[in-house]
Amino acid sequence: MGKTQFIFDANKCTGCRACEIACKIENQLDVNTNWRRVVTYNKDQKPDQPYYHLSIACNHCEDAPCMKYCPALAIFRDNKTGAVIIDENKCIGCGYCSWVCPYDAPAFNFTKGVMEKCTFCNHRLEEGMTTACVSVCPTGALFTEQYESVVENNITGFPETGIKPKIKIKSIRKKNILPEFSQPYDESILSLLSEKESEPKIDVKKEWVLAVFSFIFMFLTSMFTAAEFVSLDLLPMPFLISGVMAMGISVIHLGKKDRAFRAILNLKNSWLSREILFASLFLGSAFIYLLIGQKSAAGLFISFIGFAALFAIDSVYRVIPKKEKSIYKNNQLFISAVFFIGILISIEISFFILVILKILLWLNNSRLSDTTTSKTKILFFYSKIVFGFVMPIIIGLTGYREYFYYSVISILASELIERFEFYIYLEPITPQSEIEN
Amino acid sequence: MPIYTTACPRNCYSTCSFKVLVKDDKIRSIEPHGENKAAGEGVCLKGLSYVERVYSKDRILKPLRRNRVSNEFEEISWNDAIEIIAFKLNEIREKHSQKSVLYYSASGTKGLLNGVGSSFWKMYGGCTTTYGDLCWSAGLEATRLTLGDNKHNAPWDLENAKLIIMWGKNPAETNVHQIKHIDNAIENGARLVVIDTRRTESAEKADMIIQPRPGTDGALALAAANILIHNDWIDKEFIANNVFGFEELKNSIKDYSVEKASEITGVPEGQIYKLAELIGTIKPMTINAGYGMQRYTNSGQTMRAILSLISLTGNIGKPGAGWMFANLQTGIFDSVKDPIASYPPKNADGIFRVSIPTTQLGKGIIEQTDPPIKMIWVERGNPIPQNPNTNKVIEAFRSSEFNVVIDQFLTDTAMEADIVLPAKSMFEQSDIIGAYWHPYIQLRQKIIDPPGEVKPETEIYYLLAKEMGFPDSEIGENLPFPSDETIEKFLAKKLEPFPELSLERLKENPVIAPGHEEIAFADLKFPTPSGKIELYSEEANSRWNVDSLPTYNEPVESAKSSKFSLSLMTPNTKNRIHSQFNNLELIKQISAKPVISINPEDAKRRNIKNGDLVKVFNDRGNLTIEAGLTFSIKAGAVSITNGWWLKDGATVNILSADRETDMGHGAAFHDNMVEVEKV
Repeated sequence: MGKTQFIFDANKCTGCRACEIACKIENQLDVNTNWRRVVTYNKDQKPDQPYYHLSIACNHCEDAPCMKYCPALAIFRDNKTGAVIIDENKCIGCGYCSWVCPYDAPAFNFTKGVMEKCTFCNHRLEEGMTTACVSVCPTGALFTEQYESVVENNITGFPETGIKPKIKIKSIRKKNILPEFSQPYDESILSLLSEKESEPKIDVKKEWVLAVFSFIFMFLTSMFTAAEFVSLDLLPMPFLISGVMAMGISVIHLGKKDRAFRAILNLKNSWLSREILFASLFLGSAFIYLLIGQKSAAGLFISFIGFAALFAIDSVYRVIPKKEKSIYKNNQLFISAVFFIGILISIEISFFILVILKILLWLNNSRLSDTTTSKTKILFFYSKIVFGFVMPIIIGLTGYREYFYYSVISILASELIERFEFYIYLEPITPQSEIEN
Repeated sequence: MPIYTTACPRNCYSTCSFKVLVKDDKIRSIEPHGENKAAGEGVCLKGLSYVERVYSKDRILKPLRRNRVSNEFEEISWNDAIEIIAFKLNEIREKHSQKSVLYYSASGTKGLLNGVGSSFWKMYGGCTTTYGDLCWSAGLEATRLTLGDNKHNAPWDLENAKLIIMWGKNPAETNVHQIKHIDNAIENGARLVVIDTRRTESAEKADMIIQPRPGTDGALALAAANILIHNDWIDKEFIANNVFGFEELKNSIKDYSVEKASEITGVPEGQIYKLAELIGTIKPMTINAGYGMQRYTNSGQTMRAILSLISLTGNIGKPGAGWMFANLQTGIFDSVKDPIASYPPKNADGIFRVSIPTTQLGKGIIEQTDPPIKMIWVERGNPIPQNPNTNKVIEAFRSSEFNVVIDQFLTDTAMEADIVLPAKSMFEQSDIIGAYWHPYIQLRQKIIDPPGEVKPETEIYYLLAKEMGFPDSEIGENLPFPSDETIEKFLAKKLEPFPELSLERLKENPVIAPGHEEIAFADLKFPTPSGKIELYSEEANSRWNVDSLPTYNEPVESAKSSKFSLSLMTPNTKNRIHSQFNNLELIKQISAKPVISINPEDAKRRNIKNGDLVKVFNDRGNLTIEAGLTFSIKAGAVSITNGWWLKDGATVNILSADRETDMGHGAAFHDNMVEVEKV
């Protein structure tokens, strides 16, 4: 493997952003596409804190998650230069590489319908030159160097998630040893200052398809499993059609729909590939099982495949580097299915216990006290409480048996809201989000 | 890919050498040229953006004529454009006088061929021109009065300094290549002090930042000088041999206490004392003074006060020591150097009427009589947003019958032209350029043919001279024939006196100017009247009517006298050279909209939140822009970077007054008090 890495000296960078522009010119990028970004710590220049910039692109990590988790095996490493490269002829444009990258390096190219990112100026490295960004840096803050082994960087704003990024950051020197930079300030002033610029990388408005898809699979798995224990009339065709439609709509968000089949190529490493495999297996076998209509031990086995699919979906999100890593959030779909099965097969006492347990779980995982809480988030939270707790309790107390069906519908609605909330709060780590916190 | 050497001719300290990569006869990319020891590390974002600038969809490629009623431009042929201009020139000369034509050129691009303009106007019989300078006159004059000449140590010599004082200079934005030398100095153990009302990018490297109230640096310097003398932190032997007026200065500032300076500047007393202690105890020291600081009505005297700190401590003529302001050592082709070259001549030549102050361009044009101005010719400049008192400059352009502007883009000034002629880019005609920071002479090489119907200015003058029927012999003597060969011959002739320089050599590398002194004033010869460093200058008094000694005087317009309470600073930004570059998409991505920087304390008092739209106003005009709250600016001061166009809504000179600095005929842009309120 090529042993070239970036060196970034935060003492020397003045935030001029020539590196960003050089990259755009060298790689002929669209003017508003950035393969390299300069982020700034302490933008307001509060006097009691340092102020510095980081210039970050793809770090061609030794344990590159984009390459590991790409379902289509479209990302490879150039062994000569060590560059991690997206093959635009193989990429299906699913965008998953950008989710698992803490440096927010891969970006969607709307013209080509595929993902793209910094190529380490591979064409230049091959000719013994350095990268465009490095060659123009007017202060010598960014350069490349041969290295033995990568080091961990410990500087606020640089996500360090153990994937061995090939960049060494020289952290800021101790300074300002003489009189203070400025007068002390009144803390109350801080509320007048700039709001955070970082937007969540995963936008639920664009990714609602995935919320619906995963919700439907949770629903189908739960129904199928519950039907093994209680009497539920599951019709094979609607079962199949809803499942196939759920999978179908998730193809919509691919940049290259004609290459969708490539999504299962990486069973070895990618939970995304596994998810698709297990989901298809579950749908197919459940359909046949329902068609035959004979209860057998195979039913439990098919349930098991369904749960494997849910676990795979949860895992797709589990490996995304993100701020919040609760056991509940990491297994949300799986837990939802177990809970929902419980509801479906419940008797009166267990029904109330489950509903109460669920609200305790929600309250425990609520982030309403966050400063970033928006009106939408509050709306989602309270409607979830109404549909998932208030209504079922009222309905249950009015007549558990008579209105059981309505309780289930209400709980299902709350689970759908919960799934959307999951995406709203997903918030993968990016250099911008890190440096602002 | 063919690679060419060239150099950036913008009005910028760095004046970088470039390597230009050409693919299919188009400029593909720009990379640094390592042979330039001062600025070889990289290319700034503006330099990179030439790739867009040359091929911009907004570039003017054909002559344009404006209909003054509909205010619309139409493309016309070169024949028509030249005919119209020639007709007007003849008409004005007959009806009024050739002196009714104002020839205005500014600092948009450097080059020896710029002189061809004057040759043409001489053939026309003369015209009116301007005197003074927008940029650096007060500092140049203060330096000339004190040291006798404007030169300094080579940029890389800064690495030998043990104490660097960046006084009002922010190289991170205006001279990014200096950062490397500063970093190296710091690594060699140097201390860095930044004195600036703003906590700039450059200040992040500093051991100490001092934030004086705008325009009060002179008081800070005098107090520091007093401490130096009082504590005997001075070089007595050096003073005895090389300094004129020490005793006079000593007596005049002996009551200049730290308390007094602290009260004037708003700098804590301890910091002033610490500054003096550093200056007095660490050698060698280089003070690098910026240009923004000398754009006040008191700043010639301010600069002289700061120069005294160098003089008292003997920090000159040695490695790592000195006064960095302007390095005119590449001015080998000039018969008269700045600042003198920009002053109105003592004896008028009868051809050129040098009567309009650049700093008061609008007023000067409007008030010019006998004969009045009827036509304005502008090249290499955009005076409407960039000269003080923008509204007055617009009024002046509208009062003139006929305006010609040469530019690459429809700037605010071009919008007031009757005829706009397309201007070449730096890649479309060869020329030789100097610098004012580093010592290299460079060839700005022709690399591509001009696009569309663009013609270089030399050709425009040539065509015009032909059209006006000037005798061929006279044209041949004064104007180069429009071809690449004659341009090269013209340049080669300029190089003849200097055997070290040849076009062939310059096509490969930048070359250090003949006679360059790496350590300026190493011989301790100061070409002043006394032959010494003049703290006491008779000429300061006789020429400019200021005290013969450095003094501190409150700026004419300041918080002490104005009904408006905030000092508006209008610094340069890394994203532009004055009004150039911000029209490009690549730059707009980084510099999307104008913002007024305001301290949160000042904002709170005015109920302003970050991002609020605010009105910035004084008696001269107003702007409505977004507020950017930042602790980086001292309370009582606000800043908007200069160079925004009128359509961007933040042309700062709508607010500035057309006042001259106390010496040098410079522009006192920063004597500018405003108020800010939420819209």
